[in-house]
Amino acid sequence: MDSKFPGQLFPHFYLDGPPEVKTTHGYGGWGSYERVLTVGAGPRDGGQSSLQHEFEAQHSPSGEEWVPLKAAVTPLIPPCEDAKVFSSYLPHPMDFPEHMQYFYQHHCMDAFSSMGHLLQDSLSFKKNRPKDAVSARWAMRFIKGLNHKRCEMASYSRKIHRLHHLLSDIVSDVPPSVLAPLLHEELTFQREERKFCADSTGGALGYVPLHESRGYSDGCLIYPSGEAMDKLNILRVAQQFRDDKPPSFVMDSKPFVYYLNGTIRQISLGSMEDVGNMAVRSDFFCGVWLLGDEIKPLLLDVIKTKDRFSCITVSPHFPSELAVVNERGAAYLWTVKKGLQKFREEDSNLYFNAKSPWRWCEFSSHPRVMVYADRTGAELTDIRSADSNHTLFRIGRTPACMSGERVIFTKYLSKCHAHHHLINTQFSTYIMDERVPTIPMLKWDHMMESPPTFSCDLPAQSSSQTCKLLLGAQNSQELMLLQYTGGREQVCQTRGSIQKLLSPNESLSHLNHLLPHKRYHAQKRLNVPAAGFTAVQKKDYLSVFQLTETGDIFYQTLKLHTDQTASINDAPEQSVCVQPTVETGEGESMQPHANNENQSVQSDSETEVWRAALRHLEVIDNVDNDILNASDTNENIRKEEPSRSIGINPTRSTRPPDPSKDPDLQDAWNKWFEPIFKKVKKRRPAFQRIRTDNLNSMVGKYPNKPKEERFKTLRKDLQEVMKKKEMVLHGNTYLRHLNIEPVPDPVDPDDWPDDLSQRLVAAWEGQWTDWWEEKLGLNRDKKVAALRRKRRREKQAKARSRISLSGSFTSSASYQESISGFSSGSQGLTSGDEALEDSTSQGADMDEWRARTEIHKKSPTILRRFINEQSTAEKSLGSFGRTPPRPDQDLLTSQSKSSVEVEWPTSRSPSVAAEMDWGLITTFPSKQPAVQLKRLKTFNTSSLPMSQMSTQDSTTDGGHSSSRIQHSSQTPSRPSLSSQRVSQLRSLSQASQPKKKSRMGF
Amino acid sequence: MNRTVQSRRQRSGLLSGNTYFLKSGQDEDKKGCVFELSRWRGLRYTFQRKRVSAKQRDMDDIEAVIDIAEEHESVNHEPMRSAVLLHRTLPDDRGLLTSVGFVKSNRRCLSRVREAMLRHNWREAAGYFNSYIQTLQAGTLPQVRSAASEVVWRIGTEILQHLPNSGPDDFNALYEQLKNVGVKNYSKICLEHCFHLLLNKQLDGAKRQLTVADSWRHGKQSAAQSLMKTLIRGYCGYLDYLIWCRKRPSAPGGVTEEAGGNHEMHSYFRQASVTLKEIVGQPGIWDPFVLSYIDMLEFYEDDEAAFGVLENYAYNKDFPLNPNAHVYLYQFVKRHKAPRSKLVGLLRILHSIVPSHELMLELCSLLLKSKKKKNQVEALTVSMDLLEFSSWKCNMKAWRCLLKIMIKLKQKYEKAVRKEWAVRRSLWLSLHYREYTAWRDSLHNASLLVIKRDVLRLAGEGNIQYFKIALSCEREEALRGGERMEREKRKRKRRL
Repeated sequence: MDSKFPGQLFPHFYLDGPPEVKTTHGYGGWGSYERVLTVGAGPRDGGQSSLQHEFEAQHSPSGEEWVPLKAAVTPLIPPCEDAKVFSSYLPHPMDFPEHMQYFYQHHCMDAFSSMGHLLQDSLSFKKNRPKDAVSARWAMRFIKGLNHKRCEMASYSRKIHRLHHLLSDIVSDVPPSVLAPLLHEELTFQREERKFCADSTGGALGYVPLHESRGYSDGCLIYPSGEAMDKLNILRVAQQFRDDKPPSFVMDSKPFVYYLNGTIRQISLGSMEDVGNMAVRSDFFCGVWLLGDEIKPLLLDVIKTKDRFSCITVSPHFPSELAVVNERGAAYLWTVKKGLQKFREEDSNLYFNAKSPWRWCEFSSHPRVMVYADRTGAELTDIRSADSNHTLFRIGRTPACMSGERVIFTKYLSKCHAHHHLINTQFSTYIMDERVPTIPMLKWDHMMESPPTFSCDLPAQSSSQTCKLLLGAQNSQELMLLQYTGGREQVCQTRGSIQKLLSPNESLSHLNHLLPHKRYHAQKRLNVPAAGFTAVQKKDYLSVFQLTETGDIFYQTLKLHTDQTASINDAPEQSVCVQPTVETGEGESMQPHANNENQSVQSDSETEVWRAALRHLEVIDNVDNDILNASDTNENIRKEEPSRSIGINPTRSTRPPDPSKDPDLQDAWNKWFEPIFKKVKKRRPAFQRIRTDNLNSMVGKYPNKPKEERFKTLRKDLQEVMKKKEMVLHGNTYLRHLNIEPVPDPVDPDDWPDDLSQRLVAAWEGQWTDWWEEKLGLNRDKKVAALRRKRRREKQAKARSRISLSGSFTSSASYQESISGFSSGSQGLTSGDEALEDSTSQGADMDEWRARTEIHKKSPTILRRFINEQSTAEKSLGSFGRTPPRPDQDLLTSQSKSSVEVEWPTSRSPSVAAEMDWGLITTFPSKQPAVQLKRLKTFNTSSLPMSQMSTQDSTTDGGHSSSRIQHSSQTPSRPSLSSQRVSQLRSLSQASQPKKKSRMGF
Repeated sequence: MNRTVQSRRQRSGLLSGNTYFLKSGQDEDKKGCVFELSRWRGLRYTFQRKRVSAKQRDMDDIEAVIDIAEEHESVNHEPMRSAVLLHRTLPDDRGLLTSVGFVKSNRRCLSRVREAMLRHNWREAAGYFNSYIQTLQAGTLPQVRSAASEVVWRIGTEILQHLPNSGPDDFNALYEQLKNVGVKNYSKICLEHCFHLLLNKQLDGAKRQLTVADSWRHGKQSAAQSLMKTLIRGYCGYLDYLIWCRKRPSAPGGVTEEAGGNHEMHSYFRQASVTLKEIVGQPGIWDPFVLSYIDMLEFYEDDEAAFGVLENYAYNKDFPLNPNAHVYLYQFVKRHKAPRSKLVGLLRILHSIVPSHELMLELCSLLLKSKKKKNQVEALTVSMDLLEFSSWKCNMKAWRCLLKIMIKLKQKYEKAVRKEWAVRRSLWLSLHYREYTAWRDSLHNASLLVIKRDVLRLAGEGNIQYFKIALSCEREEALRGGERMEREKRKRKRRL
């Protein structure tokens, strides 16, 4: 089957050269079909079926749906008690002085021992000491004087000062000037190591299936443990599985343990025949074990070198052959008990200098062709002949590489497809076919936070199912599930979208709340980077085991969610029970689902039988009673099903919701936390406690019965109300009636004329800033602008009204109006004229447009509008000028004309001054307008006796009203300032007046 | 004048529509899917509003549009602000984000969407996505803007693909409107839209999309954009070919029959051939394009051009090694009744590139047909090479082929066989002739075991253990076969 090659590949560009595309976002894995081609009806036989082309996309949205059975991962084995948890703190290289200080203070025997020994004879505690010895008491004082926290120059003793200069670099065993750069270097290295550590690439957790029979499969879980992860554990695990139940694990009580001489970095497993190889990589040695169903694990061979190993791989083709690579770039074929055969050595990186000693080696579909990889790419190397290398993957030549992309991990997917290789970079995951070099068969953006260093492939169990790839990251503990099909007759396609599986560090949120200090320790323990993972698929269940760097193993089980009928044509689901897609062929009839209790009992009895069968296994129930769980989860699913079928929208996305707060899960975790918390208890808690015992006793001592009852009823009321989501009203409760307090008299802000009160009033009305602006005079420009606008508007309005009056007004009338406009305008605003309101907003708009001159150029429509506005204004202005003064008018107009003649010279002189020097305005005598107004008033009184009152009002407290334009709360508390400003405004308005007049042709 | 006012109102309408839509998103969660869709349509509504401004974009030059967008942003930011600001800042007319809170909450929203999507909680993701759309209205730097629009497009499409009640209209709305938001993604989204239509069997719509994308131009073309353009042109030609296929008369000889129908068909051919020829000349993998181009050329009996294209596709040094290119060339040559030596030559090249290819069996049989010793020994090498690959390890056909070759060679050139075997002996013994493999073959594939044993015997090996297992297996087979024979005899007797 694997020998076939797809007849058509998806189109791809082939470019050569360093990639230039930069990552812009981390969401590239979604929403794209990538490429499309026709399938089925190939162009050759197009004659028959050319009318209907079937298309296939490279990224197909439909895939298998895997649903986690529990909300969080479950611990598999009790925690490794002697494991060390390093703090998540990243060391900063510039922190080296503090580290040195710590070293000198707390490891003084290491830091100063040799000099101490030398000085031993020269110090003495005796009173009558020899002449050349120094009193120890002096030495104590000396050391006190050397308090490192203090500045050494400020040291009070000159002696100390001198001694410091003389001896500072010989007192310590390692001179500080030598130690410091080394420490800095080490801290830099550690920081990088903490961010991404290539050592554990490949993962240190393995599962070997040993024996399979009806109902259960037996295997070995291989994992490291111990303080330095140097204990190799081989634990026998039996997995019970049945059609309708999630698999449950029963474990041997004690694992086989080998104590190794270094940290276990990687565990590689060969294909299992009757026996199989297991290889372990440590930094400077590698070992091979033989595993089998009926034999004890047997150590076959060990090799040791001076160069660090970076990879070990067991051959999937036949036993006793391995490939190892060290960081110097030499790759060896290791035949067990026969020694190493070097097949390749590279001094530098393959394609460009990536400054990384990391090398990797994998087998390929031919047992004598190896994949040799480093950060820059991967090559196929033939062992039999030198110099026959073909590029398999190359950063820069493989399409759609990003700049800065590096190979993180490669793997030969022997189980999924004989010719496929997985290549992971920090951005993407590629599936390469070794028959088509450099062009990926598939590419995903895996969207993981930290680069994937572990992976696991699960082959398709039937032709209709998908191959599954699991990627695991180190620091973030992420696990991603990818699915793909094809690679044989069909072209490769990804299936579904990437799914993120559960990880240990997020499990606390699904458990009961812990006390803060416990939570802190638990979270710290769970946040440790991952060290490997492995997955086992049994029919519709996928179990994933995860190992962290503290040697803790967690597992989760996922279930294949199969209701494809609902997804396609929205038909209500019929089958309530979870049906496996694969027929087991075991003839095991399905359990009747009606009787759950019966079933669980039955399952219990069955397990008993099964346990008896496993005589050699000492069964411990240390995980959780999974058998009971099994029925529980099933029950859960079944309970949901009817509701789903009744539900309005039976959909493909109706998945069983996450089971929240699973009691069994909680139990398992509680048990797991116990030893951790016990260990923590020995230390003093870092959290302060507030004693609340006496508060409780106070409550208990004096029980007030009637009160208690009242509270009870109140509580009940509250609960009811909360259920209904209403408000509690006092009248509805049985509480004592409250005394009705009269509402205090409203405070009149005018009674409090002082500054503070005014400000508070303004603040209360939300005009605090305005008040300050007003007070500091920051809004002067605004006011001026507003006034101008208003005036213009009024004038326009007037102009229009005059037109409608068909020239009954003379131009002088308009002039007179404009002079009195200030006060009347302010009145209009204070009274809140609606008609004005609209025009104000329009005017404001216009101003805005005028201010943004760039708009005029760019937007023709806007410009047009603006021009229209202008033209209308000018029209009205023009009408001012054109309308000739009519002598035969009524009394009012003739009188107003005469007033103009009188006022002309007075109003003119200040305007000229204002035009010449703007600064003069502020110093302009404030009397001038008053005079004008008085004149006006007198004129008005003669002409319009009826309006006398109103005009007088406006003139007398004109300043007051003008300030009310902005702030109604303003009182004439500071007459000097406001009046001054008003006078400025007036002078301004006047200044602008004659200018317009002149434009009108006066 | 009226027009501007109107557009202003529309913009404020857009705003209110959007906020309404956010609010409703929060309220209606209970109602579930039904409302979800209405929210999606709400999205479409918003986008339709947006399109108004997009149309304006055509009329005015780009900068003016940006100004409009900015003004509109400043309006948009208003609700994000708290009610009382102590230090009120004027809205920044450069369009930079004025509210840090908006950025923060937006980022958090995106991470929620991401988390929900990675966990396959599509409905939850859709809820968050509804709120995330407002990023598009936030003014940012242009490159951030295009990235944001791409993110929205990718996330939106993925969610739509997994939401149960999404219809084709929703897809169209999303694609159409996001094209115009991030201008740089226009062609990419067009191509994806075309793919979506193709997958939903709307060939004509897809063609239209591609034509639009092909004729679209904006600013300077980056390298990636020009590649995208080439790809679009390639797909354009491919679709032309598919339409040509539809119009092609079923009988191969019907070229000259209907003149009217043929004219249209020829025009499609011309279009397709121009674009396909262009893309096939670029280095890359173009299997579907090459096949369609060759199909058309062969239909019009332009064999020389077809051969030239295929030869270039297979042997051009700039192209990546693609076994399919060699296969197409071989098939083409074979179709045109080329001499055997030429076929062998082609397959030899393929063997040097992909020794595990299926066609190696064909090469063996071709080589065996020639009488030369050299060729026959080569056949042995080829077939043994083939069997070393794990994908061929248990393939009966390949083993039979090897056995046939060995029997043939044994009679004349035993020395050559011995020589070949000596080179591979250690590998073959551990690869094919382990006890475990014998045992496994005896269980699953007894006939394979027998063939393998014969090969071993011909090679002159005395692997006693292996022979033993094979013998016992054969006996069992014989016994079973005997039983079967007896059973059949009995049956026959009964019938008789």
